[in-house]
Amino acid sequence: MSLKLLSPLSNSDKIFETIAFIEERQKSYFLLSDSSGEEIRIKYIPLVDASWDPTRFDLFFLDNPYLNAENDVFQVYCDEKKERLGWIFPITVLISNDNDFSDNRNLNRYKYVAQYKLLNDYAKILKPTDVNTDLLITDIYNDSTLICILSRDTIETINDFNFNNYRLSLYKYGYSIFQEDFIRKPVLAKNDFVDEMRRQRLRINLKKAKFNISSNKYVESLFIKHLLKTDDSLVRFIFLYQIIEQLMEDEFNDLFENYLNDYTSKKITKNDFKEYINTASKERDLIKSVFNNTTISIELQREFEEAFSNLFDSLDYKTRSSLPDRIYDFRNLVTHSYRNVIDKETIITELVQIFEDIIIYALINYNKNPIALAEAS
Amino acid sequence: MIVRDRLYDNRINSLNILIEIDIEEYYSLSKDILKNNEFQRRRVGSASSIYNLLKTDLRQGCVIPPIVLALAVEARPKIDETDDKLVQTIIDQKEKLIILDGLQRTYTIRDLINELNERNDPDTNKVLKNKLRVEIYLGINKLGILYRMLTLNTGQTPMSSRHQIEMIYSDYIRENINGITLLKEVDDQAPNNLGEYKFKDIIDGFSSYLDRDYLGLDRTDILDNIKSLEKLSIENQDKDLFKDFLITYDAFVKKMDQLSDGWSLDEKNIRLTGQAFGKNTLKIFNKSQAMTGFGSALGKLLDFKLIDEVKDVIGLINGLEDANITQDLDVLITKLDEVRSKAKKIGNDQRMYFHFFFRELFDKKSDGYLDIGKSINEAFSQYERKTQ
Repeated sequence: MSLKLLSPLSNSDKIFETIAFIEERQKSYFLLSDSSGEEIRIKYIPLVDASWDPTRFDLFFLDNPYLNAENDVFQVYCDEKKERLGWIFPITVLISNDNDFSDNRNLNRYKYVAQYKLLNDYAKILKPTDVNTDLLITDIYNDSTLICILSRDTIETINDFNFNNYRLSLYKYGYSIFQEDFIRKPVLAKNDFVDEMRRQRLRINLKKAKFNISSNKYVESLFIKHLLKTDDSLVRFIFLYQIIEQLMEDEFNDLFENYLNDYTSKKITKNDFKEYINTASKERDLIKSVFNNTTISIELQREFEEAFSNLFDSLDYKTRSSLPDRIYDFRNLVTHSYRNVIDKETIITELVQIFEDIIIYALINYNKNPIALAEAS
Repeated sequence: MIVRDRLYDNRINSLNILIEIDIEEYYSLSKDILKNNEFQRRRVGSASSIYNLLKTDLRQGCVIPPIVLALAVEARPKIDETDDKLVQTIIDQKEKLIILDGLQRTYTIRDLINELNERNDPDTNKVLKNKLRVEIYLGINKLGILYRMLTLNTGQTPMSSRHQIEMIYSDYIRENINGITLLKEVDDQAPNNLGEYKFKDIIDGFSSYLDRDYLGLDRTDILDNIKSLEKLSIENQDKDLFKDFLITYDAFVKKMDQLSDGWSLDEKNIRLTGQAFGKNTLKIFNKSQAMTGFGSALGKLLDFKLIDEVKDVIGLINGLEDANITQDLDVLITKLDEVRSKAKKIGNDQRMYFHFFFRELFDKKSDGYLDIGKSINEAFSQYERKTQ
């Protein structure tokens, strides 16, 4: 991979493939050169620690409209391993020592690896520029880019490690895979979460999702496009509830197959078959079955209950006590009686945000066979 | 060295002489120039560049375009000065020479001579006697040098205005202005005392003043630079703006030090999300971000005719008072902490904050005029409005 310098005056573009790191007393830089010996210098601003081999690290590009400040630097851990996998940090950390992490020895090693890989591993096109001008890495990459860099020595000890399996978990923290020219819309309800992450300098704790997001086109499209593009609560709720609908349909299909088998093998009568199908079709029972296949944290359940009760009490509606029932009631309210809550935007927004957190949690912990779900979609 | 011609440059009020010099004499002269001015631009790398071709051509005795130097002397030589007097002036003050155009050619000449000497090449003496033409601007002031460098560099490798400014004012590191010490980066010293600043940071502040821009982008666009120079030339008649800037800023720092009466951050009671911007007034205001904000703010105040010149601010500084200075400085630190935790680029946002702070403090139309506490809070409101 290389840096390519487009030449407007001729057909021969310059390819800068050779990379070297030069450390001088007052400054350090990466020197990229082409076959004719022409050079480009890319300044290296952080404290130099080039002791690690960049080939032993994997780099991923992320986006996060909430945690994108220069100081939003977080360690990455995962459930399967008690040691740090790596770091997530904004690319601006590579062009500044003004942040709180300029002296962090471990991170400084990652920073060097990151800048090396950014210059060596990816093909980027430069606009024609004066090769005698020292560039910054942000002259080549978008300065909103977030970098996740993980140590292969660590992730290779995790059974069947695949970064895609952690996308839902990353999304919980607001992270999505970086897409060029794609502008995410932040959702205001996330402000408290941001303050907490920054104040407490929390770690990113990744959990491998049992639900295979890549095998389900609709679910995947939500987390790479649809949910990222809108901050409208109603639209977000519709998108997210479709996941529940799909899981409910899968539950129904399983039950239907079972009953059909029983009927065709004459284990049950036609009337019994009709009755079972009618019962199985009840949405309120199906949604309970869906949530029986997963776990939701007590804290999230409590948050939803509190917000839900606030809303329903204000409408003088009766409320049920289980999470699936409340979710279904909320769905009915939005679908059939939205006109009654049109002036309750704040609480609706809050509820939808908690609902999104519940969906993420549910998918991460979903115990149903993912192969069946993939075939169903 | 022989004077061949002289002309007077009426644009920058300087005598321009054309001298003929042999390579040996220029080699010796250039050694001093490069040694004395560490801020001259680095040489272009690359083994197979055009400069290797030039080396070969020089060996053969080619004529290269005149190298252009400048000598900033106080007493401007007259156009009818004798040749001998002019040559003597140059030789006596050769340590003050700056290369305006021809740095890479100078490096090439030096490389060639060094290579010939190393090899004991039989052609060495012949090459040393080859002639060069050199133009020298005598009695040019610093602004004139800046202007000439910009216009001479048209179409060639551009040097940023910041770099040029650094080069031109580097002699102030040696000169003691009002007892102020300017520390070079190579010294590796932090400015720990009143009246001490990193030269690089002062340059940042002064550049921001010239550009009216706290971001301090290293612009190489010649038209932008010329526009700011033209604005500057109106201001700089018989003045040294850099000195004025430095003295004024130093006056502000000293005033804040005096007002704060030994204040230092109460780390037990003030909870921050990270490192404090500074734990005493010196550490707050001797940073590049504060100087840059100061420079750009003053520039704007001048442009809006809210002050007539930089030094006007000294009177305002001397009149500053603050009965709640301890509380106000605590608030300043917490505001800077908030900037730090939310900024996408911390340094830039800090500069922006200080820009708003100094504008509030010295703009007679603002709510925070000469009120340090109000300026601190108003600046933060403006910062939030701008960034969110």
